[in-house]
This record gives sequence, structure tokens and C-alpha cells, in this order.
Amino acid sequence: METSKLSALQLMLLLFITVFTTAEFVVPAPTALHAGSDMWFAPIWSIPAGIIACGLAYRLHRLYPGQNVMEFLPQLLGKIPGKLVGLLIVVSNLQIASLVLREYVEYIMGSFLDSTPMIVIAATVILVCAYAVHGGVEVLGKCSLIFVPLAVITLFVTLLFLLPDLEVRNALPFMENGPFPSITGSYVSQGWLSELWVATFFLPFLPARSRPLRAMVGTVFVTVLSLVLINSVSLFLFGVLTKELNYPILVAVRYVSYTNFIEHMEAAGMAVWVLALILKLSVFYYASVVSTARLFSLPNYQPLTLPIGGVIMTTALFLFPNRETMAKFLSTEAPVIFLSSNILLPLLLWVIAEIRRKPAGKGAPSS
Amino acid sequence: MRAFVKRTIALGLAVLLAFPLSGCWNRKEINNIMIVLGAGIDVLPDGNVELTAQFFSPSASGGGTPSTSSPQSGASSSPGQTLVQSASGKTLAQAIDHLQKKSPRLLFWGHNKILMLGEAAAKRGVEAETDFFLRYSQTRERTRVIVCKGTAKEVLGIPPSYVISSVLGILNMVEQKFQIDRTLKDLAEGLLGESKAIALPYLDVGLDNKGKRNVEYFQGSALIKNGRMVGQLGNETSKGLLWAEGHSRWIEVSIEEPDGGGSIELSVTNSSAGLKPRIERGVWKFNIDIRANLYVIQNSTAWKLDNPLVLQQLERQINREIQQQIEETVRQLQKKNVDAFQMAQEFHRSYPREWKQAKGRWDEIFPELEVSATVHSRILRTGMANRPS
Repeated sequence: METSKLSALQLMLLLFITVFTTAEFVVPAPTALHAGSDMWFAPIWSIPAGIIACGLAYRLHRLYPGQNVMEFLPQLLGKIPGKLVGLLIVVSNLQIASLVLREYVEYIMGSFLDSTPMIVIAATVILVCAYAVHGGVEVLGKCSLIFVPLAVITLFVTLLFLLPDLEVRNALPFMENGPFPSITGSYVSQGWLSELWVATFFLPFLPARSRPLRAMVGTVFVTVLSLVLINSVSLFLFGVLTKELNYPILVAVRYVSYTNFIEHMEAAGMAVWVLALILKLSVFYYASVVSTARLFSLPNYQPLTLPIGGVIMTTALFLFPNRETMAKFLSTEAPVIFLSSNILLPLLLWVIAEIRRKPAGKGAPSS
Repeated sequence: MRAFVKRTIALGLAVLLAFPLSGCWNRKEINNIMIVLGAGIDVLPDGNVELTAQFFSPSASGGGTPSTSSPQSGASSSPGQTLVQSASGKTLAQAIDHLQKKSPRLLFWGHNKILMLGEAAAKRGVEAETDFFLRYSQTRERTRVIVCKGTAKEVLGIPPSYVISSVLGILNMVEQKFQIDRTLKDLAEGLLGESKAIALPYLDVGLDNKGKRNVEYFQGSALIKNGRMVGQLGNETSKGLLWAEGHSRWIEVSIEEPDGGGSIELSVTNSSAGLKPRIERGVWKFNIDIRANLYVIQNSTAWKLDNPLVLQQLERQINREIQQQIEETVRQLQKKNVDAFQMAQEFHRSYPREWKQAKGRWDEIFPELEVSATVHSRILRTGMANRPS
């Protein structure tokens, strides 16, 4: 495998942007639909999902140091079952990558480039990502150091200009129908936080003495806090209207008009968002490529980069007939799929790993 | 050598990358578009929607193009730099389509500042228009919504004075907060909210010094309920709404001497409002709490304003005056049964349990609601002169 390394901070930024960059668009609307005025704190309920996903990735990393999930699967489950589960993981990564690409395409076409062909939008971004993925983990880590602060700071500074328009009273009534609407509303963000399981592909690259668990748990809290902020801005600005908007945060950025001078911010907002999205797509693109290479026991993943990119692109284009189907899928089925492939499956693997470790003492490899 | 070739090719490719930067399919060249500054919507007698758009007219803008007529500055010599066009259709979207087919360039909505609803159109309903403006990606949610007397076509066609476009002039007036200020977002939120009602600024056209009808000014507010205009309030009766907004910078308060002598005029520098719903032993009450800071701008009474005790007395009178203004607005709204203060939303926020039961009966509760106002005003300064001394 690669010898390049990743720092804990880079891992943190990479994981943060992986969850946040699409969640900021996908999460507010369905949360508003279920949670109403409780939507601002609903993402807090997804902390457990994030912690579990991170904890499983970390624990399995400790049991099989230096190996990602694809690499220790054969040792854990045996050859054939290992390959079968491996196929499942490949499909899951490919699916998330294509979903991310399609979300990007829909968002760009729905709000900016409505007459540009879909394939051009998808192909340009996948080519950039292919370049990053080909470069490997180190490139992704270094990109995250530059892109993530830029994207996050731009977004929150822009939203700061909305302060005069925010109506904090929109947060009332508090828990009108008990805690359940907000828990139901957090369903989508739970699915998104479970994506942190992708850390399994990056943990082996950390230097030996780093403390990834702390960084990962920190990521969960920072992500949830950011989602709380995003949801709060949506709610305080649009109130009951939030649930009728497809992209509340985009509209919020468009709504900025500060002393008639700082206006029309969405172009800048989109530019930095695309940066963040390239990172997120690259993360799952990388995970897909690496796991496919591992599935077929290839020594080097790089020749697979472009072919897998083609698979992701075509899947993305044929995944849904229109935006509405996608939105419906993202707010209903997608979280179930994410939770089962990112939490349920790793949980099973972990249980098996612990069982095999105890009696024999040989189940765990000597690293 | 190989490195050199590689570098040259890379440089060539990088230069090539610059070409698609201008965009391909979605490019909008400035000389291919017509920038819509304001849109007006009217209803024609046959029930069709008529759309009137005011465009920025680049030919009159001076600056870039070398024009022979006004070498110094295009802006001052031309009567305005706008162009007004109308088209009609069964729906707003059809009207826009027809307008587009009449136009030499593509309509561009990204800079549309104002949505002007003719009174008849507002009375017929605003939901369909709101839907288009929220759905279409070029239009902005900060577009100001205004109801005008007569038709929007007529108002948008008035030649601008002092500004390059009458729409931008109206926008300036809106931003100065002479009247309530409502954006498309506010309208959509109001229509969706618990009270299903909102007040929009109401624009009228008056005579200029030469006796021509071409001065736009705000005249109270239009009341929208369940998606259509159901009534209006005059300038005086709208004041309560301005106070409740908490940004009524430009309201004048006038305190007259009881025996018909002079009066003291004050201007509000800033004010804030708190809306407090209460339910006491089953009786629904609502209190509007106002804090206002004022300056004295004219005094024709014998009151000696350098005396703090006199000022205190004056403040008490101001409190009463503001209180009456708010109560008058509330009385009018209750008579028309339009909850433009959106008190229903406040009850929902503070009393969710009671609200759930009373939800369906709001139209019966609102006219009977006990609304009170408490005002704390403060006179900060009395101006540069101290008279009478």
C-alpha cells in the first residue's frame, strides 16, 4: 500500500467535510418537515450514530492495525465470506459516491446551470476528483487543509450578514409534541453522520503515535454543531416557510443583502461549496477504488481510478429520473441504507472480531 | 528536453482551460440580456394576467458606448434609463413567455427588485404569483412586494425623477422604512403562518408641482388574508404596524396642547417592540410593548423643554399618543378580522397546548382579543435651540 501519511487534523477536516458538505443542503428541509420549530436542535440526536460509526472504525483499526476493512475481511471471515461482504462494501461505497455526484449535479442544475448538460457537470467534477484520488490519501489530506477552512469560513461569514434578518422567536414553541418529532427529524442527519465509518480507509495512514479517536469524536461534535447552526439559520430566517424550500441554505445565502453592498453572494458560496464537494466525492471515490482493488487483490489501486470514475458517473446519471425522486430517496430510504452499511455491518464485523479474539487469542493478527 | 516538452504541453493545456471559463450553455452575456428591475402584475377584464416589466435600458446609460447626444453624462440628461413592456397570458408564466417573445433579448430576473401587485390582482389572489417567484431560480426571495392603487402597469410606467429608474426610487423609499417593508419571503411566510394574514405596503400616485400624476408615495398598507387582499389601512391607522415592527425610524409624533394652541412635534430615532401573548383564566390577551427614543423637532407651545419635569410630562403624553395609535390599528384590524400582527403565531409559540385546541377558532378569537399596548418613550434631545426661554 501507500507509504504516505495523514495527520490527525487532516483526518478530522476530511471527515468533517465528508459529512457536512452535502448535509448542509440535504438535512434542513426534511428536518423542518418532521420537527417544525424543533429543527434547530434535531441534529443533536444524531450524535450517537456518529460516535458509534467512529468508534467501530477505531476499534477495528486497533484490532487490525494498518489495515482497512477490505484488508482484514478475509482474516476475519474467511476467504469466500470475506469476498462477499467485501463486494457489499464496494457496492455501498460506489453507491454513496454516485449519490454525492448526483446531489451535486442536481444542486448545480437546479439553481445555477439549468441548461448545461448533466454529463458535462458530472464529468468535469469527476475528472478533478480522479486526479486527486490518483494522487492518494496524502493529496486528499493536504487539499482538506486548504479547502475546508475556506469553505466553512466563507459559508459562516456569509451567514453572519443575515443576523439582522434572523428571528430567534421562530424556535418557539419548544418541543410542542414532545421529543419525538425532533428525533424523527434527525433521521436524515443520522444517516449522514454514519458516513464517518469511511474513516476505516484512512486510519491506517495515521502516524503511529497519533490519537485518532479524540480527533474523530471531535469531528462528530463539530459536525453536529455546524448542522445545528445551519438548521438554526434556516429556521430563524424562514420560520414555517423552511419546509417548502428545497435548499434553505442556498436561499439564505441569496437572501443576504447587507447595506445594499454585500449582495448576490451565492456565486462565491457556490464556488467554495464545489471545493468542499470535490473533497467529499474524492473520499468516497477513493474508498470505492481502494476497496475494488482489494476485492480483486490488485497490488495497486491507481489503474482502477478512471474506470471506477466512469462507473460512478454513469450510475449517478441513471440513478434517478428527476430531482424529486432523489429528494424522496435521500429523506426516506437513503438513511436506512447508510445506517445499515455504515453502522450495522461494521457492528457485526466488530462483534465477530471480538468473539474470534477471545477464545483463540490468535484471531487477531500480530500486525 | 523531455521535461521541457512536458512543461510546454502542460502550459498549452492550462491556457486552453481558460476558454471554457466563460461558460458554455448557461452563459449570459450582458449584451444578450434584458435586466428586469421591477415586475408588475395586473388582472385584465377578461381574467388574464398582465405582466409589466421595467427593464434597465443600456442604450441610455452613457458610460461605455460613445454617444453623440450627451458627451458628459448620460444619466442626468436622459429622463431615465428604463424601458417598460407589458404582455398578458392566462397565467403569470404564460405572460412571461409572451413578454419574452416580444423582446429582442433574454429576460434576466436576477436583479428584479420589486414585485408590484395591482390592486385588482392583489384582490384576486397572490398565491400563484408567489409560487412562480419562489420556484424560479433566477428570482430572489428578497424581492420587495408592494400593492399599488390602480394598475401596476400605470405605476411602473411613470417616468422617474431624480433616479434612473422609478423602481429603484421606490426601492430606496422602502429601504428608508417610510412604510412597512415586506419581502417575498415575508409574504410566503405570512401566508403559510398560523394567522394566514400579512400587511403589505400600499403605493399611491399623487400630483407633482405641475399637476401631473407622477409622484409615487406610500399610503398605508394593504391587508392580505388567505392569499388575497381584503382591505387596507390608511397612513394614520397603519402606524400601529410600524410600531410593532420595531424599526419605525421615520414616524412623527405630534402632541397638541389641549386648548388648541401649539403643538410639539417629535421624530422617532429608534424603537423596539415586544409582542407578549397571555392567557389568563381562559381569557386571551395580547400586549404590545414599545420602547421608543425621540427627538423634538418643532415646538410651538409655551412648554419649557429645558425643564426635565416638563419632558417627563411630555413623555407621558407621548406614551398615550403611541398607545392610541396602536390601539386604533388593532381596532381596525379586528373589525376586518385580519391578524396582520401575526398574533396567532405568537400564541402558538407561547401557548402551544392552548393553541392546539383553539386553532380552528382563531377567526372568532381574534376580533374579541383584548389587546393592550404599554409604551415607554424617552426624549433624548430637544434640538439645537432652546425656545421658549
